[in-house]
Amino acid sequence: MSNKPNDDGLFPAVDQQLLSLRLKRLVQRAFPLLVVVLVLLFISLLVPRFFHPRNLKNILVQSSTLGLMAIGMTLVYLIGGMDLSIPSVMAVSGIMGAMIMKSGGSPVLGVIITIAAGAVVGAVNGLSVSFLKMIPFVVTLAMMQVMSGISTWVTNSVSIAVPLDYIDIILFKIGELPLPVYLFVTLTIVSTYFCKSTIYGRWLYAIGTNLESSKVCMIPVRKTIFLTYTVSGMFAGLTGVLLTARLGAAGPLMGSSNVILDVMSASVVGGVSIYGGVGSPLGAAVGAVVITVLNNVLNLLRVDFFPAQVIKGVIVIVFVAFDSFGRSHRRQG
Amino acid sequence: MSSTVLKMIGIGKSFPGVRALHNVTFTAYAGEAIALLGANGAGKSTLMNVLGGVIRHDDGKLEIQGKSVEFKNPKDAQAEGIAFVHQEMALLPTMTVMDNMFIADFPKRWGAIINRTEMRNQCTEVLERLGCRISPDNYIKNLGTGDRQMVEIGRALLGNNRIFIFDEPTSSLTKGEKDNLIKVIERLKREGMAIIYITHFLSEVYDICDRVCVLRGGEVAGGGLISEVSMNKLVRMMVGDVKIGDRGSERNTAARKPIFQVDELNRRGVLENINFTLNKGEILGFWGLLGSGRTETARAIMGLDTVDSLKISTWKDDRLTEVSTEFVQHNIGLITEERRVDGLFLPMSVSRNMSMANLRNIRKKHSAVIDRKREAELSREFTDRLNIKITSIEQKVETLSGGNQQKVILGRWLEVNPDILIMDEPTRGLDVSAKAEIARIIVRLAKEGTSIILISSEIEEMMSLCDRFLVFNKGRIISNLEYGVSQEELVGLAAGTADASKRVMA
Repeated sequence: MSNKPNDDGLFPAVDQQLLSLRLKRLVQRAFPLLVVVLVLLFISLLVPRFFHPRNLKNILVQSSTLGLMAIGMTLVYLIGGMDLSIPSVMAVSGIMGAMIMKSGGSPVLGVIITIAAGAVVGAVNGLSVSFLKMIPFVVTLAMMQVMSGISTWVTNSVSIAVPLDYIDIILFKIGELPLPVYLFVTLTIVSTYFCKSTIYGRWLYAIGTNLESSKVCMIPVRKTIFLTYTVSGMFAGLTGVLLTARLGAAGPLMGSSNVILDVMSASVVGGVSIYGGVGSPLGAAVGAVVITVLNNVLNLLRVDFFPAQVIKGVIVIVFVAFDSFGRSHRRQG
Repeated sequence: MSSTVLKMIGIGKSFPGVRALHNVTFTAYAGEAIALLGANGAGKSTLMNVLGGVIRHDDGKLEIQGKSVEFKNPKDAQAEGIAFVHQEMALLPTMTVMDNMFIADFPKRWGAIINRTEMRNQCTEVLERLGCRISPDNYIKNLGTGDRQMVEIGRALLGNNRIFIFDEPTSSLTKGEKDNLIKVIERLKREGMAIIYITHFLSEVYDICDRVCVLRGGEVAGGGLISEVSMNKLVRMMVGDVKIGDRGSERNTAARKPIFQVDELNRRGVLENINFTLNKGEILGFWGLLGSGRTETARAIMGLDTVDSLKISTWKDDRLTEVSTEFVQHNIGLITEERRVDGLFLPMSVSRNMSMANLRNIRKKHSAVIDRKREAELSREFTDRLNIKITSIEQKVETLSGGNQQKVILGRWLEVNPDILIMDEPTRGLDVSAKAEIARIIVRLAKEGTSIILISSEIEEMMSLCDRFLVFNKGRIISNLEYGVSQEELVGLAAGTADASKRVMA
């Protein structure tokens, strides 16, 4: 076998080999996900109302909000970081936007403020992690606490309703599906392309794989880390926009702490490594759909909230175990 | 004559592709200190790892006080009274002196409760034996390096050990601490302990040791009573009569054209007033011991460590222009010492590893999108040129051999094609043929006009490749020597034995 170009100028042998190698890797990575999808499909066959169009549509709509948060989380996971504050930031941004609109701001201003609020909090996370060298887990956990505190405090635990025209704009229907679904699909494609094909995307993988090597390769490590957390905050803000419209109001409960487990599950089930450098937004998006389906099925089967928590928690543990096992296996091999 | 404590007879050990030790016989006597010398890679650490039970030897046998022993693991070695005083100190900074000394085996009451009185008594006694005035209740983090070392020695004494191995114990000590250590070693000798002393500083050997054993290329190159061996003879034993693979006429000494200059590089406690000039197409050797400032200088130039002062300039049309760190980062490539730690992206493909420093140059026009075709082309071109053995450019780097991994890193910088390349131990851990191949590439690069700063602990490599040497000692450049200098002089200067004052840079 050789990597030398053939005389006819093409590399058919190499390409074929390359293709099969990539396919093998993909199958390897996607295998656990495949198992879950099959199991869910099997279960959903037992649930009568699952394939009802309205239910399927519902799943897509719900996936879109979870999916956008999971994409933000995935970017942070890629650089070997972690952002626990996503759901609470989402809630606070939504509340900010709702308050602006309540005091007379236009829907457009509401959207801008919501996303900007997310970006600002994300930037604070990014600053702490990249330039102040604080540990992501602690910073974002504390930020989660601060944000849920703010959201309860500012609203007095009462949801703030948003204007109807705002809801009409955000949930605008194209064909059968509302805008958020299209937004979700578009951003999944864009961010996956960003990660896989641009320099900056490559930098994310590099930093998550080996921080020191990245520095030696003259990658602007700190700036990249800072921006990644900022973008994660923006995704949280954007999710705030969509969820506020869907609920018709913004309140502290939007970002309750069990949402973070769903976000983590979506990424991890989608093949993103919490150790950094592995995975893609596309995977996270698929993961988000899987987790939403799981929620939906559990709901339709009338499984109680707490047993459902247990099931979801176990799934995360199993997937993280797969991830760790894969790593240690690789190291020895 | 004192009695034999340790005998290692005909020890042999091979690693895949390398013979690390061959027929090494080493004897240590009670009440004496024996120096174990040798260049990097001579087999010192392998021999000591065999003695410490860390690795198993292939041939030969070990005897302790006349009794044949076999070590399956470090615990077995400890049980026979062998103690390491580590170079990298393995103490817990937030715990007390006494806790650290007993951490492996606390004196207990009723099976589980730590007996603090007993602990304090024993600790005080040991510290007195060492003649040092440290409180058993002091925290390690409050102690200086010398005192920490005393705690380590104290810990070793507590275990009723008979053989003490000191690995580079003075490299980070002050003068006073060093004198104290020598006194303590004298005491240990008087108590009948056998001391094995590993160092790069030859003058210490004469202060401390009674005997010497020199390893070279995994074999014993000589030894005996220290009083019967001159320092020059020691150096020759370490270096050997090697033929120098000469670059001969290819050497770049004629018309030197400076292209790069570093001035007033200072980093408190690490680097002191580093100044030098690099010429076009030159291979400039940074020579010195570990921690002498070679690597630190390279990192400082690249902006990887913060420094107190640094001025970097380039020569263009005979004019000196100061440049920014950013300029440096885009025009100088760095090949780091530990390729697996801060060089490679192990789980990534060969192709990605090679393009990582060059991404800015292979994007499609007016965008941040990577031109994958160009990326693959370049990877193929350089894996070919460097003769890297891979099945496909998509192969993961972690599956490659050390030599091929190193070539991937070389390829990474060849893609960028910087004017200046800094290579820190580019051949470390490689087998002979891989070493030769890397050396050939280095020479070719210099011939093509790349200026190279080469850092290597292997004197033969330095002698055969470099046009000029800067000798580092304790964070300073103490000497600027042309090609043609003798190996003895280089080794002597780095070890601080030869008189450097006459050769200090102008």
